[in-house]
Amino acid sequence: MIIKSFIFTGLICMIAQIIKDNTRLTSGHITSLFVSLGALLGFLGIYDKMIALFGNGASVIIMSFGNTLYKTAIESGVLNMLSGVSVGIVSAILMAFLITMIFKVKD
Amino acid sequence: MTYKELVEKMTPKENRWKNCIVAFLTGGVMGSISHLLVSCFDVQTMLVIWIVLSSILTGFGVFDSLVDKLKMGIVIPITGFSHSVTSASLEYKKEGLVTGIGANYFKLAGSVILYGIVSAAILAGLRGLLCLL
Repeated sequence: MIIKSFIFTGLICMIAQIIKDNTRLTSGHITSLFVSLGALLGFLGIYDKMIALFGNGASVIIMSFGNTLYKTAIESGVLNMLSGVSVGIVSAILMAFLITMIFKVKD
Repeated sequence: MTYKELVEKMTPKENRWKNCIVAFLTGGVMGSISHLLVSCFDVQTMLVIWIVLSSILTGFGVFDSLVDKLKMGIVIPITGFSHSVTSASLEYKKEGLVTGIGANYFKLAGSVILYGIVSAAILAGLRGLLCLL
């Protein structure tokens, strides 16, 4: 399962790298694209199967963010969709604030 | 030799094959560690561990040089999301708490949240319509 996770996550990152090297899209464009793609894969019912098949390496990719948003929207209503990803967003906000208060800007 | 040719010759060529392999390996390592973390804890804890780690690395100013070396392998996982929040926040720290940090907090990560929510809402609506049929 670890090897499957390795190959799957690696392939997704490689696709992103290929897109970045061969087009003008920046990392921001690619991550936004991948989130929407994750929601689409969730809509098609593929993403959960991929997690079951390739292990939890698939949950660390930003695509899983879109998938979780879609799944929560179906389960507990469109306006509640953030409840599925609130752990990630809130921890990112709190950590970033803490780090900003502690560290100085490096030039 | 025209100027354009000269510029093309002098610009260091990024080795695309090498970039691909590096991104594959880094992404793979990230995926494997994540799988191990999930088997020890759960998915949410795994995400929090990565977020905390990448935030701290961003604070030390290490993350950007890691991205240069490791390519998209650490941008596409959740670490890239956390990095974008922390780096935007650090960058605008000198402009003040509200107009600096507050206004620019989601400068980069906002698009991920925005397009995630919009596409999930559209697709959920579509599913609702399909269920009606």
